[in-house]
Amino acid sequence: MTLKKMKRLIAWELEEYWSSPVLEFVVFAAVIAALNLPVRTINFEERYLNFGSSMAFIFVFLIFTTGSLFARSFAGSLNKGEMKIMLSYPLDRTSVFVSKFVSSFLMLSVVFAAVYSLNIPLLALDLSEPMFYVSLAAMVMQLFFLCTVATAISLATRNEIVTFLAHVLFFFGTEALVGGQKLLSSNGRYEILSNYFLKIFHGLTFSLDVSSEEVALAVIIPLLASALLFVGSLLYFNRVMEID
Amino acid sequence: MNEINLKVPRGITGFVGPNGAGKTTTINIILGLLKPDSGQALVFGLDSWTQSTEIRQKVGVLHEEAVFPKSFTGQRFLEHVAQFYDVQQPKQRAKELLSKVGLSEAGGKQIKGYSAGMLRRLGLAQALVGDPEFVVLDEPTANIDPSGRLAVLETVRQLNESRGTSFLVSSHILPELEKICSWLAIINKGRIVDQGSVEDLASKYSANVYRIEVSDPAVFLERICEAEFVEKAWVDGDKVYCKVKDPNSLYREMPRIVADLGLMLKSFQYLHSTLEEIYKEASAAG
Repeated sequence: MTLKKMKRLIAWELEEYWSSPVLEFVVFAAVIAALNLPVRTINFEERYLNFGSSMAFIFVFLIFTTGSLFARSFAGSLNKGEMKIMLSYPLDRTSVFVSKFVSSFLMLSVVFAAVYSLNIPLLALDLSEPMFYVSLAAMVMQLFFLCTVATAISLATRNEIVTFLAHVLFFFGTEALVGGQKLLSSNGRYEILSNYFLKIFHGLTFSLDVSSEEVALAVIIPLLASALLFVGSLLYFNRVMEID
Repeated sequence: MNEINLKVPRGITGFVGPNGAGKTTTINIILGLLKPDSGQALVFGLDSWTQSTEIRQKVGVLHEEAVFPKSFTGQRFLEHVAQFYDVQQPKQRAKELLSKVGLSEAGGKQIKGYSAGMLRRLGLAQALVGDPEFVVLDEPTANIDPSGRLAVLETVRQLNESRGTSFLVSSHILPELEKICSWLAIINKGRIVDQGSVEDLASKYSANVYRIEVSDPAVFLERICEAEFVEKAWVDGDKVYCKVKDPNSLYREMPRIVADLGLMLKSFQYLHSTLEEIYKEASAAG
């Protein structure tokens, strides 16, 4: 894997993305997110309650966005034959996989950043407050998890529409199935983290009483699952997957 | 596919076979896109699955159903590909190739606006970007108009002559292959039925048909039909056509027959087998 070729591949991918209506998509996403936000509040506690519900909305929005972007990048290019063309050039499979993942992740980050940053003026968030960054880190972690799930499904199905549907069903299905087990639910894990750190930093306590072990698990579970999915997908793509 | 041993010497090799014979599968194995179920495939002495990147550095390819990024211009696309091959001046190389395949004017247009023929020509250009030693073309003239086809074939021939680039051309259009190929590989049901130089295969699968022009075809036909070495003979116009079992006997006996009948021999010609005939015979024999 050469870094130089990987950079070129990322440039190729981003150039392709840039031709799609990215800016329009970002504006659309931001407008939808803004419509969901409540009227500006002054009270700190209310502000972070609103912020939490805003994150839940953004997460749902990201499930759809990740599904469509990664389905296009992996399953779509496998299905349409673009991957075959790319792998007919002197590019190793690791570079192709990593560059596709990175470029899609970057695109998704642009969309996420646009929507997330809307919270600052609309909820009158203070950038010096640690909760803003805790929340950001938690969301980026969730985002990475979404991306690895979408990649794995893409490689398994090789079909854009099936990937999108399976991805969406996986997350909504998981949320519905796990019930009260917050550690297994994406929203639940976010809730654990925000409750814990709101208590640590600001002395606020909401309904959930969270232990530090639960916090550790809320971080380890998605990171471990993401790492396993990423490495598994990469190994499958690199060593096993046939392109025809 | 079973025990494929495809020999591709320097020059232009035609790769023919019916649909589903295994042509595209063979090409995909060569490029390391498919893994052989058992054994290994060697290209330039390198394992096609584990060392495919090294192989692809030396090989250019145009796939049968090539899909290029539609939002790119032809020029920009070739520049990207040139960078993958570490070409020093990608812009210059892209321009040069667009001109070679007759797409200079369309270089600034987005690929989504290209016709099917233009896409095939762009495909040929991207296969040549890295100045490869060996180029695989899968149905290179599909969807191209007759003049475009001739241009593609001419480009292939020129590249072979001027740069010594070797080609493996898979095609169903045998008369076209006949114009450029020096070597032929015939595949059927996943195995190589036969391969060799076109001349050798032509004589091996020759129909052994000769065209003889004499002063009185009817008299000559009556007499030649009685000869043991003749399988079949017929008259077409003022010429006699003979399909023989043993060409040596024809060479020995025919002058004597002509002399005995008091006829005049005007011309005598061996009719070469076309690629289509070779293909039919080889497939039937295989």
